[in-house]
Amino acid sequence: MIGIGVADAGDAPGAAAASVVAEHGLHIHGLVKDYRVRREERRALDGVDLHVEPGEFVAIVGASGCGKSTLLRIVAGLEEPTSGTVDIDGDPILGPGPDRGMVFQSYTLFPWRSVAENVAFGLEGMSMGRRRRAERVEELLGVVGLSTFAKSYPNELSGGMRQRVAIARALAPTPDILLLDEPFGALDAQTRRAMQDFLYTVWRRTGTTILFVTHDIDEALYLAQRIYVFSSHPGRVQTCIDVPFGPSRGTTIKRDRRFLDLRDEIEDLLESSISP
Amino acid sequence: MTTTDVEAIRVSGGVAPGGTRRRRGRGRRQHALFRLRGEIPLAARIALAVLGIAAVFAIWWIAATVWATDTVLVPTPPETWTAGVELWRSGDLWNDFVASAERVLYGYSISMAIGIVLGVAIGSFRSAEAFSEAQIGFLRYIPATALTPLFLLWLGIDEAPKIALIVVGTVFFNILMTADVVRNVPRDMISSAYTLGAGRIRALCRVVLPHSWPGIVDVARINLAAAWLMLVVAELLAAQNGLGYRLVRAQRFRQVDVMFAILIVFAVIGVVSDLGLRWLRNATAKWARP
Repeated sequence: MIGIGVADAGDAPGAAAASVVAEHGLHIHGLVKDYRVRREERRALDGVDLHVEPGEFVAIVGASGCGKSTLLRIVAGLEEPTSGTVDIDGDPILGPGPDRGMVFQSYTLFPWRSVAENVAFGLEGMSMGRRRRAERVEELLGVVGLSTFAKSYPNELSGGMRQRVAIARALAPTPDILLLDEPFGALDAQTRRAMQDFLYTVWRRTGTTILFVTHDIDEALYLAQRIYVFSSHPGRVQTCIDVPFGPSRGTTIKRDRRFLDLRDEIEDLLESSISP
Repeated sequence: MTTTDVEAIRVSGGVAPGGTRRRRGRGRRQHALFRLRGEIPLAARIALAVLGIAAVFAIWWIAATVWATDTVLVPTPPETWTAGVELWRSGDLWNDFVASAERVLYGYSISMAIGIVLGVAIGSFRSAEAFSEAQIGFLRYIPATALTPLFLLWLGIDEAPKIALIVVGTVFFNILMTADVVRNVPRDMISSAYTLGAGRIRALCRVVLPHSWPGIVDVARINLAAAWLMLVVAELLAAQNGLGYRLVRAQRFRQVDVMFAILIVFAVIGVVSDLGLRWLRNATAKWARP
């Protein structure tokens, strides 16, 4: 956990103080998002209330079309809500910034940059010495276990490795919250499982707040402390579930009675919300 | 027919009279050289390439010796070669090449500069696209060669109309194709840059441009052929030097061998510049190598 006092928040403005500021977390109230598709208003999100405490690992599960990616893009500042409020530590979101790191399902590494240069991208906009930047990059590559690949290029890496670099890159500017939009969606089942354990370890090591979007119920239950279950068309919060497993969890919980019960419960919820 | 009948036929079909089964194999084997989109052995590839080139020369030679008449003169390959060497020795070829290449260089540089600036703007900003789409879509359909008389009238017979013609003949392709290249930058990649703290200018300079660079070099490579086309049109009509002018002069003296030699020079220039730009693309954007 990142247990840091209020006083620290004020004295170092800007992104450098990012890890310190996480006081009150992310709050979303009455979020509505309408899209115009060929003269027709479509409601993607309908009155979503959601919050994420600092240091928490929260997952959003829902079928495709429940607006979960849209929600993440709004938090990232990449899209504007139609109505409702989104704020982090009381600050409304006006646009994208390095305080909200994001990892996408598609591979978004810059192919002309080496792994180290990719991780450094977010640090280049900051007033940071060359040496400190290099140290930070090295530290993050250590966290994601890719130190030996610093000089490699994205097209030389496997899909799982690319997403690990993408996570390191998003973590580099020390964001208040890490937004993950189905980051393992394009990976095969084995890699996916390994990446889940990897992400969990990263979360435990860095204490970063995580908001994780997935359609995979097992993945959400395995990783998150709380799960928001979304219904589709329009996207609404159906329910919020507290995952009853502590922070030290292993693959054994996947066979736990409570795990299986919760999975069935969420599955039923999702099924009931989908109009065939 | 019942199923047992079918089975009986199937079985008997495979069994030759006398009781031993004749093995016919299943499916149909395809010839190694004629598989749809299939690979062929390297040796076959080389052999076929050599054969193809030889065939061209053979047809040319036959055309020069058998089909050519007094009115339709066709030089043989050696005659063409001799004419080319002579043209080179006299210094005319080099001077003409320099004159033509200079025009292409100036005209095409201007065209690429405009193409990149407007193309990146149109590809990046929907507002720029909306503002300019209609005009460009309209103007591009005016055949650039149709502007030659106008340019000669306005700009005289100096370098200006030739360069202008090259610009007009290529700039719309360069703009539109560059815009397409820029539109191919994945949106999530730009979004990633934003969430990493980049503003629009940094996202443009450090994401959109590097991602588009190899594509822009390809655009330059492809449209360069059109630049030479416009150059020749301009030089055929009014010029005191240049490869197009040399072509017209040779025509006046019925020097078909010289004309052939110049045509081949055009092809060589095309191939060399194509290879050069390919090299540039691969050397400056290793990540985008096919």
